[in-house]
Amino acid sequence: MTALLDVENLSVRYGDLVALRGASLTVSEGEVVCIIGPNGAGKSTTLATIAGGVTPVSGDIRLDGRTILGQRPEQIARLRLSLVPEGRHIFGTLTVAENLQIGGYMLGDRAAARSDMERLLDHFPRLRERLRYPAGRLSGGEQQMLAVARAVMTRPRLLLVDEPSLGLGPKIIDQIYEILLELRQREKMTLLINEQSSARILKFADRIYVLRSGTVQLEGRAADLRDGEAIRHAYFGFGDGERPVVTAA
Amino acid sequence: MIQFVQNLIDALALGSIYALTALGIGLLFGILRLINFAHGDMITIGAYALIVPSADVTARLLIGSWTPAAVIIAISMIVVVAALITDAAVFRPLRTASSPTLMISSFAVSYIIQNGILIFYGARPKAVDFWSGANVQVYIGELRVPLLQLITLVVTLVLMVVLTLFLRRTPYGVQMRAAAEDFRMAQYLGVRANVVIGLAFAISGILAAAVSMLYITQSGSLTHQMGVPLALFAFVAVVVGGMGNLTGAVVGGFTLGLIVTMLQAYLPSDLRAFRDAFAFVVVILVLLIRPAGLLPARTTIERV
Repeated sequence: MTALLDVENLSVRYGDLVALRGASLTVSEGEVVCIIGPNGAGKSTTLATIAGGVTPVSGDIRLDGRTILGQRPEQIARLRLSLVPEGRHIFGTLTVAENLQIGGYMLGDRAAARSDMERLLDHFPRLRERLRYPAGRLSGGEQQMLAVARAVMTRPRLLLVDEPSLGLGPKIIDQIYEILLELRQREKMTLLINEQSSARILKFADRIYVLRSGTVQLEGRAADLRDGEAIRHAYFGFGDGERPVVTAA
Repeated sequence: MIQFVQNLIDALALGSIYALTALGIGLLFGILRLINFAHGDMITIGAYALIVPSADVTARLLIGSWTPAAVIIAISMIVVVAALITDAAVFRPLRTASSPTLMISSFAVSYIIQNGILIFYGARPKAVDFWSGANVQVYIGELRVPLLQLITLVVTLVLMVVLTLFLRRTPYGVQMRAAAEDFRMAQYLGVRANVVIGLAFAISGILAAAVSMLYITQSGSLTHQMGVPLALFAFVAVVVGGMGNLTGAVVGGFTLGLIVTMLQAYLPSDLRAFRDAFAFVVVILVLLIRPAGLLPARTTIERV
């Protein structure tokens, strides 16, 4: 069986800076896979490269066994692969409704997009109340929800979510994960999520990749990694002197 | 008082021309971060398309002699096609280039167009008698207003309303606004970059064609560099209004029209020759007080 997403030996540079050195990962249909790693490990670069926003120097990215390298982001979006980028990138001067509509235009079927939006808003009552607001006026948590909802409007098979919990309070983060998992059930989506901390993600994810300095340090089923010791080693590296104490976030 | 109101109408008419040109420049800047100095030459193309190609000093009308509706459609189409060709030939291959590279390229496009016109039409300015019937005066009470100024105002308002409705109400308009705010994010959501950019060039072409016709009717003369000062003033209008904001471009255009007209009317006659220098002093003062322009682009409010 071919995996839904297959990333092989991916290397990315920004000028002199090497962001990824030969990272590989696979995601199968229906899985929830999480990439964890410290700041600057290359997590965001991995997702942006898969979505077509960054051109790698070497390696391959395959969707259903076919390479998607060299395709523009808008073409990759049409393969039903959608990215919720770090920092959310809400269109702040557009209304909440317009932000959502943007995701639906790709389908070319206005009635379907409208009913998608109706259905989706059941998960996001806060957004429904604010449909006519400029999206820039939403709170951080609401913006994150809008970013997720907007991506789901493109009817993705594979949804990439870059640090959904960044800068948000624990209650909102829980809500966002709840919604992500609900949507995954209802929309039959596969999820690939970046996070900095493993605490919450171990409950949700099927499999974990730990990324540090642009390479995959550890890969495993979340159930096998629950005690956290292996993750801590992979996350901080070996032989760095005193090992920092990790407190569950 | 009557004199002042007449000056005000002059200012609105001149401001309309600047505002329409500034809208064309502002639209492309918003979406491509391209400062398109060749926009002025699109206006020149629209103007020269009215006449028979020849080196004569008095131009004979070609398209310009058709019925007004046919003229408007033909000139708009010619300028739109010219704008799309510059995109396809020059700016599309430079899609990933930096903003300064794009700007320099637009200078190149500008020179190529000007020299192309030189080859076919000669270098001497041409007198042209186009829609001169619009230059009559109409009386509104005691006010004497050139009909053309009223037409200019109405055309400008109509174009602005139509453009606003397009941007607010249609799927392509919403996609253009999204792309202007965050191009890459729009692409991630499936918005086709080349479609949105092509639309921006086409709309800027329609705006340039409108300026061509209004401006020629008023000035009655053609030169191969006629678009350059318009693009320059419009660019200043964009900066004064606030870059990356279409309302700002319009406000900047009318502000500039007001400054120039009022200086022309109220400067001592010895100094009128230096009107533009005074106008730019005012522009510098405006920018010293509001460096981001009169209406700075609204940025996304990022909250945590």
